[in-house]
Amino acid sequence: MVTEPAMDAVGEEPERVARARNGDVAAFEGLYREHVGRVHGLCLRMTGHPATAEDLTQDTFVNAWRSLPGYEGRSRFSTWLHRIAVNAVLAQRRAPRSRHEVSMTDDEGATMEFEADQQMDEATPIDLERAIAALPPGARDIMVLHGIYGYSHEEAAGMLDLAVGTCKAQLHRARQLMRARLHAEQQS
Amino acid sequence: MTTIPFGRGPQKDPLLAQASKLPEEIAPPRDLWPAISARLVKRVRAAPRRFSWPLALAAGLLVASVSALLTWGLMRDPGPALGENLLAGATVIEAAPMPVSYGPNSALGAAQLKTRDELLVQFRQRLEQLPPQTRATVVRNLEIIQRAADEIDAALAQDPASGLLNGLLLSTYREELKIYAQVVTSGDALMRRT
Repeated sequence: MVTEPAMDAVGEEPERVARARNGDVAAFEGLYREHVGRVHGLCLRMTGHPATAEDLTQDTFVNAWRSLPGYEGRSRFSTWLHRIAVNAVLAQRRAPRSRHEVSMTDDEGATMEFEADQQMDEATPIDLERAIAALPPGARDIMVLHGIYGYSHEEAAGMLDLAVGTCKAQLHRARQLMRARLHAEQQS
Repeated sequence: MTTIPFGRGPQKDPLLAQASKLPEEIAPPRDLWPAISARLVKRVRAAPRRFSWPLALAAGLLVASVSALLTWGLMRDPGPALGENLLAGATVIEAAPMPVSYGPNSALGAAQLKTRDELLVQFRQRLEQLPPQTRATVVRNLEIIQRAADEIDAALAQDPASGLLNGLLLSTYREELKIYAQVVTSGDALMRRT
Protein backbone atom coordinates (compact mmCIF):
# COMPACT_ATOMS: atom_id res chain seq x y z
CA MET A 1 0.00 0.00 0.00
CA VAL A 2 1.32 3.40 -0.91
CA THR A 3 0.84 6.13 1.61
CA GLU A 4 1.31 9.82 1.13
CA PRO A 5 4.41 11.14 2.79
CA ALA A 6 3.68 13.18 5.88
CA MET A 7 4.11 16.88 5.41
CA ASP A 8 7.35 17.92 7.04
CA ALA A 9 7.20 20.24 10.01
CA VAL A 10 9.14 22.97 8.23
CA GLY A 11 6.69 23.10 5.35
CA GLU A 12 3.66 22.78 7.58
CA GLU A 13 4.39 25.59 10.01
CA PRO A 14 4.05 28.62 7.71
CA GLU A 15 0.68 27.32 6.57
CA ARG A 16 -0.44 26.84 10.17
CA VAL A 17 0.75 30.32 11.07
CA ALA A 18 -1.12 31.81 8.11
CA ARG A 19 -4.31 29.98 9.07
CA ALA A 20 -3.95 30.95 12.72
CA ARG A 21 -3.48 34.59 11.68
CA ASN A 22 -6.84 34.34 9.99
CA GLY A 23 -8.47 33.17 13.18
CA ASP A 24 -8.21 29.38 12.74
CA VAL A 25 -8.10 28.06 16.32
CA ALA A 26 -7.37 24.49 15.18
CA ALA A 27 -4.28 25.68 13.35
CA PHE A 28 -3.21 27.59 16.43
CA GLU A 29 -3.65 24.46 18.51
CA GLY A 30 -1.26 22.74 16.11
CA LEU A 31 1.28 25.48 16.74
CA TYR A 32 0.71 25.09 20.48
CA ARG A 33 1.34 21.33 20.30
CA GLU A 34 4.49 21.88 18.34
CA HIS A 35 5.99 24.58 20.52
CA VAL A 36 4.62 24.08 24.03
CA GLY A 37 7.56 21.97 25.20
CA ARG A 38 10.14 24.59 24.34
CA VAL A 39 8.07 27.48 25.67
CA HIS A 40 7.35 25.67 28.93
CA GLY A 41 10.99 24.61 29.24
CA LEU A 42 12.07 28.22 28.79
CA CYS A 43 9.56 29.54 31.35
CA LEU A 44 10.37 26.81 33.87
CA ARG A 45 14.09 27.40 33.64
CA MET A 46 13.77 31.18 33.84
CA THR A 47 11.42 31.12 36.83
CA GLY A 48 12.46 27.92 38.61
CA HIS A 49 8.86 27.51 39.69
CA PRO A 50 6.59 24.90 38.05
CA ALA A 51 3.24 26.59 38.79
CA THR A 52 4.46 29.98 37.58
CA ALA A 53 5.92 28.36 34.47
CA GLU A 54 2.54 26.84 33.65
CA ASP A 55 0.80 30.21 34.07
CA LEU A 56 3.37 31.97 31.93
CA THR A 57 3.18 29.31 29.23
CA GLN A 58 -0.55 29.93 29.04
CA ASP A 59 -0.01 33.71 28.97
CA THR A 60 2.54 33.30 26.18
CA PHE A 61 0.17 31.47 23.87
CA VAL A 62 -2.75 33.78 24.65
CA ASN A 63 -0.57 36.82 23.92
CA ALA A 64 0.72 35.16 20.76
CA TRP A 65 -2.84 34.60 19.55
CA ARG A 66 -3.67 38.24 20.16
CA SER A 67 -0.51 39.41 18.42
CA LEU A 68 -0.55 37.04 15.45
CA PRO A 69 -2.14 39.58 13.06
CA GLY A 70 0.96 41.70 13.55
CA TYR A 71 3.43 38.83 12.95
CA GLU A 72 4.99 39.39 9.56
CA GLY A 73 7.34 36.42 9.44
CA ARG A 74 10.52 38.47 9.60
CA SER A 75 11.84 36.18 12.32
CA ARG A 76 11.22 32.47 12.83
CA PHE A 77 7.92 31.76 14.51
CA SER A 78 9.69 29.97 17.37
CA THR A 79 11.94 32.99 17.97
CA TRP A 80 8.94 35.33 17.94
CA LEU A 81 7.16 33.05 20.40
CA HIS A 82 10.19 32.91 22.68
CA ARG A 83 10.37 36.69 22.72
CA ILE A 84 6.78 36.75 23.95
CA ALA A 85 7.59 34.10 26.58
CA VAL A 86 10.64 36.02 27.83
CA ASN A 87 8.56 39.17 27.98
CA ALA A 88 5.89 37.36 30.00
CA VAL A 89 8.55 36.18 32.48
CA LEU A 90 10.03 39.67 32.82
CA ALA A 91 6.57 41.26 33.20
CA GLN A 92 5.73 38.75 35.91
CA ARG A 93 8.89 39.71 37.80
CA ARG A 94 8.12 43.42 37.44
CA ALA A 95 4.54 43.04 38.63
CA PRO A 96 3.95 44.78 41.99
CA ARG A 97 2.77 41.57 43.59
CA SER A 98 4.61 38.76 41.94
CA ARG A 99 2.54 35.60 41.85
CA HIS A 100 5.05 33.67 43.90
CA GLU A 101 7.07 36.52 45.36
CA VAL A 102 10.24 35.48 43.56
CA SER A 103 13.19 37.72 44.33
CA MET A 104 14.08 39.94 41.43
CA THR A 105 17.40 41.60 41.88
CA ASP A 106 20.82 40.12 41.80
CA ASP A 107 21.41 41.48 45.27
CA GLU A 108 18.72 39.12 46.41
CA GLY A 109 20.27 36.27 44.52
CA ALA A 110 21.01 34.31 47.64
CA THR A 111 17.33 34.23 48.54
CA MET A 112 16.42 33.24 45.01
CA GLU A 113 19.03 30.55 45.05
CA PHE A 114 17.59 28.99 48.16
CA GLU A 115 14.02 29.19 46.90
CA ALA A 116 14.84 27.87 43.47
CA ASP A 117 16.70 24.99 45.01
CA GLN A 118 13.63 24.01 46.94
CA GLN A 119 11.24 24.47 44.05
CA MET A 120 13.05 22.30 41.54
CA ASP A 121 12.00 18.71 41.39
CA GLU A 122 14.35 16.68 43.52
CA ALA A 123 14.30 13.99 40.87
CA THR A 124 15.90 16.30 38.31
CA PRO A 125 18.39 13.94 36.76
CA ILE A 126 21.02 16.43 35.75
CA ASP A 127 22.98 18.38 38.31
CA LEU A 128 23.56 21.03 35.72
CA GLU A 129 19.82 21.82 35.60
CA ARG A 130 19.75 22.38 39.32
CA ALA A 131 22.87 24.53 39.20
CA ILE A 132 21.20 26.71 36.55
CA ALA A 133 18.00 26.92 38.60
CA ALA A 134 20.01 28.12 41.59
CA LEU A 135 21.49 31.09 39.72
CA PRO A 136 20.24 34.61 40.49
CA PRO A 137 17.70 35.77 37.87
CA GLY A 138 19.93 37.92 35.65
CA ALA A 139 22.64 35.30 35.34
CA ARG A 140 20.11 32.52 34.94
CA ASP A 141 18.27 34.30 32.13
CA ILE A 142 21.33 34.56 29.94
CA MET A 143 22.53 31.03 30.78
CA VAL A 144 19.13 29.68 29.73
CA LEU A 145 18.80 31.73 26.54
CA HIS A 146 22.40 31.51 25.40
CA GLY A 147 23.58 28.28 27.00
CA ILE A 148 20.56 26.03 26.50
CA TYR A 149 18.50 27.61 23.72
CA GLY A 150 21.47 28.76 21.67
CA TYR A 151 20.57 32.41 21.18
CA SER A 152 23.49 34.70 20.41
CA HIS A 153 24.43 37.41 22.88
CA GLU A 154 22.86 39.95 20.53
CA GLU A 155 19.60 38.01 20.30
CA ALA A 156 19.47 37.37 24.05
CA ALA A 157 20.25 41.03 24.78
CA GLY A 158 17.37 42.04 22.50
CA MET A 159 14.99 39.67 24.27
CA LEU A 160 16.03 40.82 27.73
CA ASP A 161 16.28 44.48 26.76
CA LEU A 162 19.88 44.62 27.97
CA ALA A 163 23.18 45.75 26.50
CA VAL A 164 25.24 43.01 24.88
CA GLY A 165 28.08 43.72 27.31
CA THR A 166 25.74 43.20 30.25
CA CYS A 167 24.70 39.84 28.85
CA LYS A 168 28.30 38.76 28.50
CA ALA A 169 29.08 39.85 32.04
CA GLN A 170 26.05 37.97 33.35
CA LEU A 171 27.10 34.84 31.49
CA HIS A 172 30.59 35.10 33.00
CA ARG A 173 29.02 35.43 36.43
CA ALA A 174 26.71 32.49 35.78
CA ARG A 175 29.63 30.28 34.82
CA GLN A 176 31.55 31.24 37.94
CA LEU A 177 28.59 30.58 40.23
CA MET A 178 27.80 27.27 38.60
CA ARG A 179 31.38 26.11 38.80
CA ALA A 180 31.49 26.98 42.48
CA ARG A 181 28.25 25.14 43.13
CA LEU A 182 29.19 22.04 41.19
CA HIS A 183 32.61 22.03 42.83
CA ALA A 184 31.01 22.23 46.28
CA GLU A 185 28.70 19.34 45.40
CA GLN A 186 31.64 17.29 44.26
CA GLN A 187 33.41 17.94 47.55
CA SER A 188 30.42 16.99 49.69
CA MET B 1 27.62 13.37 39.08
CA THR B 2 28.61 15.79 36.37
CA THR B 3 32.30 16.59 36.46
CA ILE B 4 33.24 20.04 35.28
CA PRO B 5 36.94 20.74 34.71
CA PHE B 6 38.02 24.19 35.74
CA GLY B 7 40.13 26.83 34.05
CA ARG B 8 38.95 26.62 30.44
CA GLY B 9 38.35 29.68 28.30
CA PRO B 10 34.87 30.71 27.23
CA GLN B 11 35.31 29.29 23.74
CA LYS B 12 35.63 25.73 25.02
CA ASP B 13 33.79 26.08 28.26
CA PRO B 14 32.55 22.61 29.16
CA LEU B 15 29.73 24.15 31.15
CA LEU B 16 28.29 25.82 28.06
CA ALA B 17 28.93 22.71 26.02
CA GLN B 18 26.96 20.62 28.49
CA ALA B 19 24.22 23.22 28.80
CA SER B 20 23.75 23.15 25.05
CA LYS B 21 23.09 19.41 25.27
CA LEU B 22 20.23 19.78 27.73
CA PRO B 23 16.84 19.08 26.14
CA GLU B 24 15.15 22.27 25.01
CA GLU B 25 11.71 20.82 25.53
CA ILE B 26 10.14 20.18 28.92
CA ALA B 27 6.52 19.18 28.55
CA PRO B 28 4.16 20.69 31.13
CA PRO B 29 2.77 18.15 33.59
CA ARG B 30 -0.75 18.63 32.18
CA ASP B 31 -2.31 19.70 28.93
CA LEU B 32 -2.58 23.49 29.03
CA TRP B 33 -4.56 23.77 25.82
CA PRO B 34 -8.08 23.66 27.37
CA ALA B 35 -7.22 26.61 29.63
CA ILE B 36 -5.56 28.49 26.77
CA SER B 37 -8.37 27.91 24.28
CA ALA B 38 -10.89 29.18 26.84
CA ARG B 39 -9.00 32.48 26.93
CA LEU B 40 -8.76 32.96 23.17
CA VAL B 41 -11.08 35.58 21.82
CA LYS B 42 -12.55 35.08 18.42
CA ARG B 43 -11.15 37.56 16.02
CA VAL B 44 -11.91 38.48 12.49
CA ARG B 45 -9.08 39.00 10.11
CA ALA B 46 -8.58 42.70 9.69
CA ALA B 47 -6.01 44.76 7.93
CA PRO B 48 -3.19 45.40 10.40
CA ARG B 49 -3.52 48.87 11.80
CA ARG B 50 -0.69 51.13 10.88
CA PHE B 51 1.13 52.45 13.85
CA SER B 52 3.86 54.85 14.50
CA TRP B 53 6.48 54.43 17.18
CA PRO B 54 6.76 58.21 17.63
CA LEU B 55 3.03 58.37 18.28
CA ALA B 56 3.20 55.66 20.92
CA LEU B 57 6.24 57.25 22.51
CA ALA B 58 4.76 60.73 22.48
CA ALA B 59 1.52 59.44 23.95
CA GLY B 60 3.40 57.58 26.68
CA LEU B 61 5.50 60.62 27.55
CA LEU B 62 2.46 62.84 27.72
CA VAL B 63 0.85 60.42 30.14
CA ALA B 64 3.88 60.67 32.42
CA SER B 65 2.98 64.26 33.26
CA VAL B 66 -0.76 63.77 33.68
CA SER B 67 -1.03 62.82 37.34
CA ALA B 68 1.53 65.46 38.38
CA LEU B 69 -0.55 68.19 36.71
CA LEU B 70 -3.69 66.82 38.29
CA THR B 71 -2.11 66.96 41.76
CA TRP B 72 -1.19 70.58 41.16
CA GLY B 73 -4.72 71.34 39.97
CA LEU B 74 -6.35 69.67 42.94
CA MET B 75 -4.12 71.50 45.42
CA ARG B 76 -4.57 74.86 43.71
CA ASP B 77 -8.33 74.67 43.44
CA PRO B 78 -9.85 72.88 46.40
CA GLY B 79 -13.33 73.75 45.11
CA PRO B 80 -16.57 74.39 46.94
CA ALA B 81 -17.78 72.52 49.95
CA LEU B 82 -19.38 69.15 49.66
CA GLY B 83 -22.90 69.35 48.26
CA GLU B 84 -22.36 72.13 45.74
CA ASN B 85 -22.55 71.43 42.05
CA LEU B 86 -22.99 67.73 42.53
CA LEU B 87 -25.20 67.38 39.50
CA ALA B 88 -23.28 69.66 37.20
CA GLY B 89 -20.83 67.81 35.00
CA ALA B 90 -22.64 64.48 35.23
CA THR B 91 -22.61 64.21 31.46
CA VAL B 92 -18.86 64.68 31.42
CA ILE B 93 -18.40 61.83 33.88
CA GLU B 94 -20.65 59.51 31.91
CA ALA B 95 -18.58 60.05 28.80
CA ALA B 96 -15.26 59.52 30.55
CA PRO B 97 -13.16 56.43 29.86
CA MET B 98 -13.51 54.85 33.28
CA PRO B 99 -11.80 52.57 33.56
CA VAL B 100 -9.32 52.99 30.75
CA SER B 101 -9.69 50.20 28.22
CA TYR B 102 -6.52 48.34 27.30
CA GLY B 103 -6.54 46.58 23.95
CA PRO B 104 -6.05 42.91 23.15
CA ASN B 105 -2.29 43.28 22.77
CA SER B 106 -1.82 44.87 26.17
CA ALA B 107 -1.09 42.02 28.52
CA LEU B 108 -2.00 43.35 31.92
CA GLY B 109 -2.37 40.61 34.52
CA ALA B 110 -5.59 39.76 36.28
CA ALA B 111 -4.04 40.72 39.63
CA GLN B 112 -3.21 44.20 38.32
CA LEU B 113 -6.70 44.76 36.98
CA LYS B 114 -8.21 43.53 40.25
CA THR B 115 -6.23 46.20 42.11
CA ARG B 116 -7.69 48.79 39.76
CA ASP B 117 -11.25 47.54 40.17
CA GLU B 118 -10.97 47.86 43.93
CA LEU B 119 -9.68 51.42 43.71
CA LEU B 120 -12.25 52.33 41.09
CA VAL B 121 -15.18 51.84 43.47
CA GLN B 122 -13.85 54.53 45.84
CA PHE B 123 -12.83 56.73 42.92
CA ARG B 124 -16.34 56.83 41.45
CA GLN B 125 -17.84 57.80 44.82
CA ARG B 126 -15.30 60.58 45.43
CA LEU B 127 -15.43 61.93 41.89
CA GLU B 128 -19.08 62.84 42.25
CA GLN B 129 -18.20 65.05 45.22
CA LEU B 130 -15.62 67.12 43.34
CA PRO B 131 -16.47 70.46 41.72
CA PRO B 132 -17.31 70.32 37.99
CA GLN B 133 -14.11 72.01 36.87
CA THR B 134 -11.98 69.47 38.73
CA ARG B 135 -14.09 66.61 37.42
CA ALA B 136 -13.58 67.88 33.88
CA THR B 137 -9.81 67.95 34.48
CA VAL B 138 -9.88 64.37 35.72
CA VAL B 139 -11.86 63.27 32.69
CA ARG B 140 -9.50 65.05 30.29
CA ASN B 141 -6.56 63.30 31.92
CA LEU B 142 -8.25 59.92 31.61
CA GLU B 143 -8.89 60.64 27.94
CA ILE B 144 -5.20 61.34 27.44
CA ILE B 145 -4.39 58.03 29.12
CA GLN B 146 -6.96 56.24 26.95
CA ARG B 147 -5.41 57.65 23.77
CA ALA B 148 -1.95 56.59 24.95
CA ALA B 149 -3.22 53.09 25.77
CA ASP B 150 -4.68 52.83 22.25
CA GLU B 151 -1.45 53.93 20.57
CA ILE B 152 0.67 51.62 22.69
CA ASP B 153 -1.67 48.71 22.02
CA ALA B 154 -1.45 49.29 18.27
CA ALA B 155 2.34 49.34 18.51
CA LEU B 156 2.35 46.18 20.65
CA ALA B 157 0.43 44.37 17.92
CA GLN B 158 3.53 44.79 15.77
CA ASP B 159 6.11 44.14 18.43
CA PRO B 160 4.57 42.32 21.40
CA ALA B 161 7.90 41.61 23.06
CA SER B 162 9.19 45.18 23.03
CA GLY B 163 10.49 46.04 26.48
CA LEU B 164 10.07 49.75 25.78
CA LEU B 165 6.43 49.43 24.73
CA ASN B 166 5.60 47.15 27.65
CA GLY B 167 7.32 49.63 29.96
CA LEU B 168 5.20 52.43 28.51
CA LEU B 169 2.10 50.30 28.95
CA LEU B 170 2.92 49.64 32.59
CA SER B 171 3.65 53.31 33.33
CA THR B 172 0.41 54.31 31.58
CA TYR B 173 -1.47 51.88 33.77
CA ARG B 174 0.27 53.23 36.87
CA GLU B 175 -0.67 56.80 35.89
CA GLU B 176 -4.28 55.70 35.63
CA LEU B 177 -4.08 54.26 39.15
CA LYS B 178 -2.39 57.43 40.41
CA ILE B 179 -5.27 59.55 39.12
CA TYR B 180 -7.79 57.37 40.93
CA ALA B 181 -5.71 57.47 44.11
CA GLN B 182 -5.33 61.27 43.94
CA VAL B 183 -9.05 61.79 43.50
CA VAL B 184 -9.78 59.45 46.41
CA THR B 185 -7.27 61.35 48.58
CA SER B 186 -8.60 64.75 47.56
CA GLY B 187 -12.10 63.53 48.35
CA ASP B 188 -10.90 62.66 51.85
CA ALA B 189 -9.55 66.20 52.26
CA LEU B 190 -12.85 67.61 51.03
CA MET B 191 -14.77 65.55 53.53
CA ARG B 192 -12.54 66.83 56.35
CA ARG B 193 -13.23 70.44 55.38
CA THR B 194 -16.99 70.05 55.52
